[in-house]
Amino acid sequence: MKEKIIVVGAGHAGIEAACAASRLGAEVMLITLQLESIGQMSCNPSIGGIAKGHLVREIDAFGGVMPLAADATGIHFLTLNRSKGPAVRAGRCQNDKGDYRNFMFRYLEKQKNLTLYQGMVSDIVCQGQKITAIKTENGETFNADAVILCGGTFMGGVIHVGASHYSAGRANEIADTCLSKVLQNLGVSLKRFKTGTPMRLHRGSIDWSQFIPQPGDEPPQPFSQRTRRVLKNRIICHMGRTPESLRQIVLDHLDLSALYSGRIDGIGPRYCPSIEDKFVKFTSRTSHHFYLEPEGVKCAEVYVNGLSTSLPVWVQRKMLSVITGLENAVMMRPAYAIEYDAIDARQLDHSLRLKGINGLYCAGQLNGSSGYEEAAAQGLLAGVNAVLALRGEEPLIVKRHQGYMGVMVDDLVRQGVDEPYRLFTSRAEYRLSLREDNAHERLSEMAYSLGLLTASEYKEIDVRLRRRQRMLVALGKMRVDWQGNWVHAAQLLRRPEVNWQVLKGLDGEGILCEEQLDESDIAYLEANCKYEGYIRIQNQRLEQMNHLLRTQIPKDLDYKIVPGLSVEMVHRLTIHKPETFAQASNMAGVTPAALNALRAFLQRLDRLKK
Amino acid sequence: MNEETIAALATPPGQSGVAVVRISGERTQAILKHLVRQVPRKWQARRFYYRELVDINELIDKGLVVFFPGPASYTGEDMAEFHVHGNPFLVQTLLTAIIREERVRMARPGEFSFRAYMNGKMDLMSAEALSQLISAGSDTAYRLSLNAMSGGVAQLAGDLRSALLDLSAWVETSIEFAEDQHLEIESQLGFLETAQKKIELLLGKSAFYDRLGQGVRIIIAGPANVGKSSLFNALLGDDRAIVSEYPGTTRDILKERFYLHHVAVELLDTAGINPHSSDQIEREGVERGLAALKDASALLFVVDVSQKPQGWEFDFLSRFQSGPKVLLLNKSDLNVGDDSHSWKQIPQELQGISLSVKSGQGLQEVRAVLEKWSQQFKPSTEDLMISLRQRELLELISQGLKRISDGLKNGEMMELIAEEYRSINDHLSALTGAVTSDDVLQRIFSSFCIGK
Repeated sequence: MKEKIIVVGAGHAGIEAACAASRLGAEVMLITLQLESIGQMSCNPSIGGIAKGHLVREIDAFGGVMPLAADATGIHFLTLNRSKGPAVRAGRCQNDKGDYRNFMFRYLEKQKNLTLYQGMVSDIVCQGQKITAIKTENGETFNADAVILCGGTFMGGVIHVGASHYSAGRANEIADTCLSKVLQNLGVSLKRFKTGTPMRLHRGSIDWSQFIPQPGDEPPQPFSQRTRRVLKNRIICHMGRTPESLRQIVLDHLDLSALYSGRIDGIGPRYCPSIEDKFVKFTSRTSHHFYLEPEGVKCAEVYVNGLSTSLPVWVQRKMLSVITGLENAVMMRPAYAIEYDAIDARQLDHSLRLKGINGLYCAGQLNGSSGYEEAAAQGLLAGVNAVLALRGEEPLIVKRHQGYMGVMVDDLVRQGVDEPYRLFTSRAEYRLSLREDNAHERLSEMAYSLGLLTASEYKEIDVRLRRRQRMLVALGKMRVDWQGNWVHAAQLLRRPEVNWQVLKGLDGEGILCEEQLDESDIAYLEANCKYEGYIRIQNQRLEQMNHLLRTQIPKDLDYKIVPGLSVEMVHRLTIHKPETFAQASNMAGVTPAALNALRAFLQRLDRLKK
Repeated sequence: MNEETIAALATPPGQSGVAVVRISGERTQAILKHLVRQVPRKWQARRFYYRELVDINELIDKGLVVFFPGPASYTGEDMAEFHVHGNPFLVQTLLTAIIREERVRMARPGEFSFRAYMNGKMDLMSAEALSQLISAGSDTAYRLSLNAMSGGVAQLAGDLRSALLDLSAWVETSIEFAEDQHLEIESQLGFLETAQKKIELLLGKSAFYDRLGQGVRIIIAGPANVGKSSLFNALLGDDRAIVSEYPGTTRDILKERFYLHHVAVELLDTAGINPHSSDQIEREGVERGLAALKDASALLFVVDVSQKPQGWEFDFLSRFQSGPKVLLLNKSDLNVGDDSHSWKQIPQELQGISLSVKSGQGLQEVRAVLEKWSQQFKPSTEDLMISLRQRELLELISQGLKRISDGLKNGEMMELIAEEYRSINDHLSALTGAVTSDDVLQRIFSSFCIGK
């Protein structure tokens, strides 16, 4: 009997959830408020960025859709932080929004075991603690073994433009008015968040000569290992600066901004501030950058990145009029802010399941995250876990040292968020090890064993890894002449001023050309040499920690003989009888001091055995 | 856990004939090499060598050194012991020199025994006894919060934390938001230098030593020619006092200082000052005098009872609020006329002792006061540990900052510099309270304007 999964919402999270679950063999229904907006990018017409690009690669390692879609519909590709180290380089591409939607729709249509349906979910039916079905507004009931909620910004969505506001989940799309109530009835507590999106201008009305062109990479780098086609940059993006007068306009009309007039209760992200936020908070800066990003190759709309606002439309027009090059710009859509309901993610466990209910999962922006990539990653995890749980198998949980997915989920469910959560590399303790170039190395084995990758896809990854290993060995043996001394290539590569190109220049015998290496391979090799010392120390610590967590506690251990345990701790441990140190550390009420004492004792036992 | 070499005072703190400092770990031999002048060609195990101990080239003491190669030692690791004069200040200097080495730190309470146990040198029964030490030590000895430091140190540490947060934020911003920020390395190097200076201030500051108790300073002050030096010498001549004349140990040593038990007694000249004088220089003299007394824990104010009080003395005394104070009316042996009555008008709360250094009258009382104060200011092992631990953390932070400075100058990759900052933030957490990645993010967002 195939598992019946219902995914609510066909945004970035919903799509990944539905595809992952159906790839695992479950029967999936993807229900959405509007079929035409499947895969719609609400805001920035781009995928990737620092830390986000990392997520996309991880999604690719699990066989997800977003990387394929990004490559297929990308019109401008850039590697950020190119001049910096491998760990912080990230891919980012601009996409044609229309093409992206079409790609997703076609992909979903072709997916086996997946049905698309348009409707609004009005209720979630449970029997005891278990999900059994959903109901829609038009009175239908659909049975389900598990439900994955991916409502995005649609739950209780309210859009604000200056003084006017109306119910909507996205510009001119109806909001979901039922789910919030349904969740509250199930005992879930909600928060109210906000985010915003800038205006769109008509391409033909912009004087492009006034702005600084930003060409893409040549050649463009794909996100997915499965992408076969050669990618092309088809547009150029442009950058500009706001003039002094714009600042004045914003400050003069601050009271008209929905954000500042107090009409919006929602908490917004610090790092994606509206233009009024920027001028109010950063009083020393009189000017800010913005970027003009076409939303498609033939599309007329241009996204103005950096001018997010909830000021009234006429003020927005005034702002445009003082920017050189945009005086005659025609606005196609005004900027707006949106408030929406989100759940407190601490109510989820690490598999993204709502605690206390069997079979209800939440993924994406409704968990308090922001960004397409963050949503997609969660969707994938939720989709996989919904199926695994029904099969009685262990959930897929990515740890913090295994991927940014792990960092994000752990941050969300363990600490919760007060504002929309966005990934930054600084959130990752293991940043040096979590890179774009090694995402597959880190995660594809997990993916393959779950059945998310085909044998041939896995084999390809394996071939690549072996190629890299061979080159690493070669680097270790190879010597080059550096300023009069013979040094090992691997050692030399460690220096900040030496990179692959420099090394190639010194490679008289052409050893470095023996293997077919692409940019990702080169980044991998550079990283292994440059970060070696730091990574080694991190790995040691990690290994110690893992070893410790795995340590078995003898079944009949009399805790009274463990030195350093208080009477109370002895009592607790005796009652609960943890089997491993990991279990002991997860027990409620066990103090760090007690854990320390237990650890020391176990290490002593370990030593005695040897 | 066993990677770092540990050091500790093995004998009780305070004044004694001999103090034993012991070290255990893989850096033992390196420490011996750096600290001992005229290192023997080959250290013979368990043999006492009489050698000079130096900190770089400054002499700390001459004493006995013994080396125990592991596993034939108490802990099972390489160990060494330094048997030196039981002067707390000297011990402090020795320990400081030891922990300045890389991968060396102060031992936690009972840690030597703990290692002995871990290396199979001790059985469970003995371990039970030491478990008391371990658990007792853990809460209190690691109270390295701002409250545990003296006011000035806490302030500087707080500033340091703030500066380092800014620096961390800068590096993280340059990683996350490459395009938006125009980041100059020069200004960052400038900030780093400032942070380094703050640390040097903290490390050099005698305020550190205040917490140790050894640095508890009793000042003998008073106008010129009242007999301060004579009193000083008289107390010095007492065979319970120990002279601290160690040439060139640190820059802080004052020539006129001696130790009574673990308390330092210093001589301070506040010559010829008169606050009511219209002479600005004289008024400044008073302020300077008070400033010098700021770090004092107690005051022995000496006056010549045969001379009329000039008027400023009581005011001066009342302004000293850092601790207990006693007025010593010296030269009581001289025949005094009516002038002495003015001295008898001392305020109620101020204790006065009639003294004649020349004849010896009152000296006993003075010694009793000093004795009482030295009991009052007795340091605990805890205080000693906390201060040294604080110092150690600051050294680690300083080393890390130097690596960052060098890294920035050599074009080292930002993410590696960020790793160094992370270690520094860990140390800072131990020193001032937790620094989370969210703190850094907060700083990023408050000081930098983020675009995309």
